Amino acid sequence: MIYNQLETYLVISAILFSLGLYATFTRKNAISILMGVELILNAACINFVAFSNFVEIGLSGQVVTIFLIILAAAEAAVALAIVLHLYRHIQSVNVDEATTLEG
Amino acid sequence: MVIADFAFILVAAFVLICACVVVFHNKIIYSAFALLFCFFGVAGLYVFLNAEFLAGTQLLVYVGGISVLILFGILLTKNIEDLTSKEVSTQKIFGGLISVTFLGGLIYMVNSVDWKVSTPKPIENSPVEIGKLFMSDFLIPFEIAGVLLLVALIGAVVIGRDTDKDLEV
Repeated sequence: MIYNQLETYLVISAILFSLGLYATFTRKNAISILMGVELILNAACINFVAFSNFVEIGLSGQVVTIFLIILAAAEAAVALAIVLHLYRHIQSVNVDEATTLEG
Repeated sequence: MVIADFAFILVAAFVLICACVVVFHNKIIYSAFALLFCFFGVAGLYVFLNAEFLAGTQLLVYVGGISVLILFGILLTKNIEDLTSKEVSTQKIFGGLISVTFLGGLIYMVNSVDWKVSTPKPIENSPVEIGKLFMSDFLIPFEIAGVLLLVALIGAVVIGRDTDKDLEV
């Protein structure tokens, strides 16, 4: 009955969150960092759906997850537009080479 | 029940292995495809959680939208022959330390808290109920999400435009 326990899903989402955090810390490529952020958002989504399923709160958790998916889509679109613009300016997408604001 | 357990372990292992490939693989195009399969697996987890409508939404938006967008981003910012180049990772020790600390803390928290759970039961007609919630309790967030999508759409078009050429006109 491992699939019918809240803790299983919480542990899976904790592992996904840590992996996403590691990606955002160690990667230099802006798109890789974006992929780490998507992993973190998915971990949060799994948490919301798990609590919505196992705790008596109705469907509110699923509705919040739909808002999270909307946010992730908007964020990905704007972030990739920024990355493309950065690439046009400095011919690279490595975040440590975007140092214009350092003066 | 044994079959369901087996299927669940399969899906969960698939998600975690794909996430590991996303994070640790040197070639970014492999990472992007692993991310696509990771989203597939998360949709499978939603099915186990009695959220079939969300699983469909996940497939439509994440697999069909965001993954393709990320692939486009990779292919537009790197030359095709550059795709095999190794990607450098920095601060591995520092980042790994913080991530493992977070993971340990979260797992300790999950195991130590006494969760007040009830037996899950599938909800009949969940898309209808979700639609009713959108039009009642979550009406203002729903409207704001619409405005947010419009703002993101216009913003992405404005930022992605070739501004140098526009300035000359």
